[in-house]
Amino acid sequence: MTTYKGINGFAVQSVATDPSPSDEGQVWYNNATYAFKLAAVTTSGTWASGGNLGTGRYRMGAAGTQTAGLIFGGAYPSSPYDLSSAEIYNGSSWTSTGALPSARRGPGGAGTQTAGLAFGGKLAPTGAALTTTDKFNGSTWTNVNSMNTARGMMGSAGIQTAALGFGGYTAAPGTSNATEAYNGTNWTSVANYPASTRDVGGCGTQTAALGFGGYVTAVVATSNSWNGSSWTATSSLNNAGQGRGGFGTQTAAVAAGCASGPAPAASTELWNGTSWTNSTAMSNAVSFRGAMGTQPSGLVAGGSPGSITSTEAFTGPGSPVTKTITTS
Amino acid sequence: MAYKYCVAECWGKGFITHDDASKYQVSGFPGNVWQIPANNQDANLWVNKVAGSFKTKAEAQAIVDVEVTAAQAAWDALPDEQKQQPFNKQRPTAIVLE
Repeated sequence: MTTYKGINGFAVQSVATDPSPSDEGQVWYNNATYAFKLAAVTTSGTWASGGNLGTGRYRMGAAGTQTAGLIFGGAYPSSPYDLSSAEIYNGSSWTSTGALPSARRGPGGAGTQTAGLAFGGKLAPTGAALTTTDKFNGSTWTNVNSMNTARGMMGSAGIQTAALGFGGYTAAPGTSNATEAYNGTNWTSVANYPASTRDVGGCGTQTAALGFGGYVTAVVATSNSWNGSSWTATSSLNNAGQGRGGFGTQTAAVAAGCASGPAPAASTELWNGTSWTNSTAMSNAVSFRGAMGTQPSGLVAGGSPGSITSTEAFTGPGSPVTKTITTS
Repeated sequence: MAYKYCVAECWGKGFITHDDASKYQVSGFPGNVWQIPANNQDANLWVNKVAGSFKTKAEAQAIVDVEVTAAQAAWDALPDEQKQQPFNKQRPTAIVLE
């Protein structure tokens, strides 16, 4: 009888814990779960459950990565309506960390879990828009110089010392096209976003950002790239919607979930630098999620309807993944 | 496409794995209702893994309806200034399971 050892010259390793699936084609036996496993490469994106948030929320700020995430502020469906609390993620579970100095919904977010930035936001009771900016050092927030234009629900990109905020929702009458760049000390107004848009998705860096979707006078599918000095229209999303969870870069982005009317959608679209394509939908139809990470490895947390605690981790196409070998 | 339904509480990481998601689509609804493709052995095994309780479509729809009705009542009870904020979410709408 032909055996694996006979073909390959060595036997299948028996291990108690799955190794990293970085070596495509590698086969092993997991003696804890009694299953043969295979290191493979994903052909399409997939969503898996992540650790649940301590406090459900939507319209929160977010920063970081799939294994070192940060969410802060956000909206809650009953009193107190706006949250100041923040949580950090280690790839498996969320832990409370230092709260924002003040509650807000819809702040912009940039940076990492240990060097984050929260900017702008809105207050539910009055509809007031904020210019407030706070820096996070991994445990506490410090108030720093404010933005020029008060608004929340904007697109955001970048890091703590080089961030970008664009579009957003001001006090009445509504949407903004302002774009502002932060250099670690001050905010500077730069070229306006092509249309006054709130709940616009965003990702990338201060000099190479992407803005997509949102609400103008209705939900839109437009997409725009930023080169550090000006915005250029790109090909549009396949589905119009606001409140997308955006993460990744200007050439490899993900738009996860959205509100396209009263009902949220689970749709996911991938950007390759040229066009948007539909990908595997999330498990839950949720909008206004906190989003962080890259196209190969992203995370979305919380969201609406309600103020859910669930999170979902995205593994993009072409990423290493462990598969269980079955006989069927 | 035909679907089956179950009720299971999402405990977080590991509830739906990338391996699960690469084989079939699991869709969540209010009330911890989960929709999986019918006649899919892997999906049936997932329900077993998450200690899910199978429900008929009518039973699942009833659970979802209760949750949506409660969410609508909560929205209706919001102060008017909350409802009138354009950036606030809209009144939850009914969900009809496929």
